[in-house]
Amino acid sequence: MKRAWQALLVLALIAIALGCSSDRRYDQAIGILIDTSGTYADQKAETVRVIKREVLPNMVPGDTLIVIRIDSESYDKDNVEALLTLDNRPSYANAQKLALARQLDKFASEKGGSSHTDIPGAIMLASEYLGEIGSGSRVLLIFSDMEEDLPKGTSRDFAEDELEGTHVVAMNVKRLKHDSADPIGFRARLASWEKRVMKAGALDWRTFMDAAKLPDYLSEIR
Amino acid sequence: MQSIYLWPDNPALSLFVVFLVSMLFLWAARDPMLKLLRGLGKNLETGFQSIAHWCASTAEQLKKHSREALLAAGELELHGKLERELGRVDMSFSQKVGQYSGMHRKLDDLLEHLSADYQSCGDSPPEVPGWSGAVETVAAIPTSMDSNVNKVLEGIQASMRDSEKKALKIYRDDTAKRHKILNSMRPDWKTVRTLMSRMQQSVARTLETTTKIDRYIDEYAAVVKERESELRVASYSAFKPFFISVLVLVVAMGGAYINFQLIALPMSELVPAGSRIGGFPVSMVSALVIVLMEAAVGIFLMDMLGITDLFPKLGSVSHSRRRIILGISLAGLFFLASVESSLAILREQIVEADATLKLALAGPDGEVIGRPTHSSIPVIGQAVLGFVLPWILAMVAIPLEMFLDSGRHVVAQLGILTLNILGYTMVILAHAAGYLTTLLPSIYDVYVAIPLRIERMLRRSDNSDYETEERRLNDAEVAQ
Repeated sequence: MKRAWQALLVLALIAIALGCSSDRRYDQAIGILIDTSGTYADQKAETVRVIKREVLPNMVPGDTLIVIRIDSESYDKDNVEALLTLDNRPSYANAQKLALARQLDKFASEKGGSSHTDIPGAIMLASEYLGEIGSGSRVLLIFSDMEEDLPKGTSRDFAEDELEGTHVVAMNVKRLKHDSADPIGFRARLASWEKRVMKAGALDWRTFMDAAKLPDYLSEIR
Repeated sequence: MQSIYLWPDNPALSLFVVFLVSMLFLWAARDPMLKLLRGLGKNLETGFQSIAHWCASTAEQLKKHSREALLAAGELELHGKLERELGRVDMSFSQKVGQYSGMHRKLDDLLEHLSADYQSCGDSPPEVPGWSGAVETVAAIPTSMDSNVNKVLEGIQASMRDSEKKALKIYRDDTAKRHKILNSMRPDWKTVRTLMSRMQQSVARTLETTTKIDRYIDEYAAVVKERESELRVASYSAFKPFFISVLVLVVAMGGAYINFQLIALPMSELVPAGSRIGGFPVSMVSALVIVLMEAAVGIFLMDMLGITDLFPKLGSVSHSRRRIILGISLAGLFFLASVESSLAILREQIVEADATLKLALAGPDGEVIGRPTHSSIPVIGQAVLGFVLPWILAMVAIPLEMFLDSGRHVVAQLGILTLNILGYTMVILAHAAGYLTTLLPSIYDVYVAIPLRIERMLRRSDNSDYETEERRLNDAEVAQ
């Protein structure tokens, strides 16, 4: 009888241990949108520097990074500058990070800027990629002045679940000339973006001026 | 509070009216309310008393069980000590008895040799020739004038001296030979003395062991016969090993944590780093498994060495099988220690690679951060730690067994203490409930004193037997 109780206890413990394991994924997919329009083109090098210093070192094996260029027509597959999923072995993952860093350096050194700024197109493209990866957590980092300037005849409307399960962060939002004169307008622009992404099902909307806060945030939402 | 005001503008009047209404209501419901209060008090008292009784009986039962378990543990420990001591005596005796025959033979040979030597060195003065008396008589004849006689006498004297010289020489030679033999006997005597002292030591050790066994037997007999008196000593000693084992286990856990930290990072190179089990990375879980495996192998090792007895079934395994399991455990531990040592080296390489990567990603600004120092000391230190820690961790079986053995007694003692405290609290609450049974009706009567007094006054005027009725009511109340 005593043995039967002991066996039951062991079985219960095994059941609890099995119950603890879940199907939840802990990998992270990071979509980075880099504005290359005329007003933000000068920030390219700084953006790459932030990615290399604050994003890449804190990525762990299994994480995915997609870098998308924001230009006049961003909803285009050619706008994907880099797409990388880190290998399960840390040493291979390190090599992949170094290769990506070189790729980003090359991207930063490219001259020229687009005439229009199609931010929603890039968001839509990124959300498609992020949805396909299906990571445990998804985050969109937008390096832009957040001034939307679509070419004529272009229509960009988010679906209600466009950004479902995605955290959206506006990074290093550059103040334009007219923003200095009218900070309220600048804030209203950011507020309208917040409203828009939240309406598209985003989990939250954040803005970071200090890039050093990014690693903590990324590990927090992982 | 304001919700009960009939006239919010006039709270005093409202409260007065509420008071009056409640007083009238309580007066009207006096009899059932008094019954209710008394019943409630009595029920509470009975309930608390029952709980107190249950606590006392359970504590007593637990105490009895704990006492039995403690005595059984004491008996088992003494039994084990006796067995160990007897085993040691047995082994020592067999060894000594084996040596004793050889030692005895050696001693016999030596004594025989010594006896022969002694015999041969007996003092035997040279025999004087038989005719020496005659010669002495002739030699003693006074010198005569006859030259021939003188010559004869002188010849006899000379031969006499010669024979004396010869005898003296032979005697001296014999004495020198005896001295030589005696000299050669010295080392033999020394050997005999050494052998004798060894025998004395063996006997002393045996006596000491038998004294120990005597003491254990006495203790064992005391536990068996005088259980009660020995129990106090045993229960006191249960706390000491408990706290010592807890202390050592905490230290061992610290060691295990360092061990774990040492291999958690490099394990990510061996297992899928992105996967998780129960929210924890697989690398961490596998590092934990390795640490736990080291502890498990240590438990087997200690059991096989006879230091612990965590698996009673292993105790009945034959000696040859024990040696096999011991060998496997030692090999397993060595393997795990080697794996951990190499993982510790790998860890250092990964840390260095990470630092280099961060430096490379930081770009030119990274120079400010500084390059990692190149020294072999951390690598050697980590490798040594990685190899040594598993062996130390293997010894955790000893405090673990102590903890398990003493823990149940300590938990039982704590349980008894808690039950006793609960029992006393229940007794106090039962007393309080009994007191409330008499106090609450009085307070109730104070609250409804005015209508009660009026009622009694009216009854007095209506009924001439009011006092009899009141007495009856009071008696009924007291009886209740």
